[in-house]
Amino acid sequence: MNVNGVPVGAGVDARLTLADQLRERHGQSSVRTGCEQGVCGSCTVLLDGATARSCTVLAAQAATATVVTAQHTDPLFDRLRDVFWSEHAFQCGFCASGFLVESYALIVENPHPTEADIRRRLAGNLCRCTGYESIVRAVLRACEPGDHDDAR
Amino acid sequence: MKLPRFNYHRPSTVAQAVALLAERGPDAAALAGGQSLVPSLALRDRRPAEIVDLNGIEDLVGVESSDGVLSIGAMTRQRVVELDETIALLCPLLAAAVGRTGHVSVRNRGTIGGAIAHANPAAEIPTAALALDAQVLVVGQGGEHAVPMGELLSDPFTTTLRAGELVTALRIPLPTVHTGYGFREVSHPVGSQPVVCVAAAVRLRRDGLVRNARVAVSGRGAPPVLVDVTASLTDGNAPDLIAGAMRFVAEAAEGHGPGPEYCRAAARKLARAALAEATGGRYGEES
Repeated sequence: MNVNGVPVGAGVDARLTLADQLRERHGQSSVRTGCEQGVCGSCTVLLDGATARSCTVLAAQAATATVVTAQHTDPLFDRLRDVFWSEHAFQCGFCASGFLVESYALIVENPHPTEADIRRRLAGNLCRCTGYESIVRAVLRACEPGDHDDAR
Repeated sequence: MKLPRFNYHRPSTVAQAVALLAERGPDAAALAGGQSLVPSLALRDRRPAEIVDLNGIEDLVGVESSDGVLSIGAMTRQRVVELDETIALLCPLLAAAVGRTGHVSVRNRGTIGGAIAHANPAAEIPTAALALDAQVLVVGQGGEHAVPMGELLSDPFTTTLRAGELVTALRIPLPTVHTGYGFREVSHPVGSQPVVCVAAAVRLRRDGLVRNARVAVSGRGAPPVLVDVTASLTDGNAPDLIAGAMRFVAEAAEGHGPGPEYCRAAARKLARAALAEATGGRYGEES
């Protein structure tokens, strides 16, 4: 398995979910286990480039996969984290990593989403604090042209 | 450890998978996209002794159309079907139904065959497949055979598949005459299991009159019901017929969400809209 660009050993217990494997064996505590039944979206990761709820994947199924979590460092993730911060899209922060990963995938597929596109895409991720307004605003802001050095 | 104990198998051919499922009998579960099975393991609703993961079987993946039949491999991801240009062109009803199944991150994993074999009574894909007169290809130790969609679903979350049998493909006959499609559902919130789902396929004659109108309606209580509204489309009674079928489905779901009166009213309204969509506004009414 490759996690955020780093090859990691993949000896796994078949009973581990990918979410638990990433959290407990690979230091990916950003992968939040919320409902652990595929509903809340907090454990969303990129699995071979496509978003997946890592609590619905067995670790054994991802033994040779490329996984990207919200801890990944690249310009788009950095920008998303910055605008989530500046737009107050984190409140308690529990759901934020799932939103970051799903937003990342949306922007990769569609660099200029409308507000409706964003709302539709993020409908599968649950946030109990923000009311979603600030999250949607942050994703819109992340897609604006220009640099984002002022984000902090 | 959250999941119960099981042995994990990852065959690379259909024959290996069928042999494993046959050998292990009812204690074995086939793992497709995992969007229903893995949560049910986490909840320990299911405790199969053996899990046969189908994700390594390349023969079960793919979309092709030939001889007037659209064939979709059971392990084709729902997101792939949703975005497939051939399907959008040849079978927009299926594309619409798949696009309303769960969320993107669910459809990235979820498969066509998994949605059929799981047999959630309210699910969009089986409902559309029923309206489309689809056949399900099933393989077991005795070989391969085709089962009409309506005969596969026997009860909620129950199919007529026998232990050791595997869904390998969905086959949809492509129409030779102009066919209009409509799809509507109510789900709270969007992306969750529908309360009511209506899929309409209406074949029109050259003069624009109706040749054949198939409408499938589903909800949470009983498998989808197919309603032939060919005769009642012109006199305006089709939405009532569909609502009547919905009442049967909804009464079976008593106690699981909205009551039969709500479901019947929703089915009538959705049926009008789906029929209007399928006939370019000639029958039914947009809402």
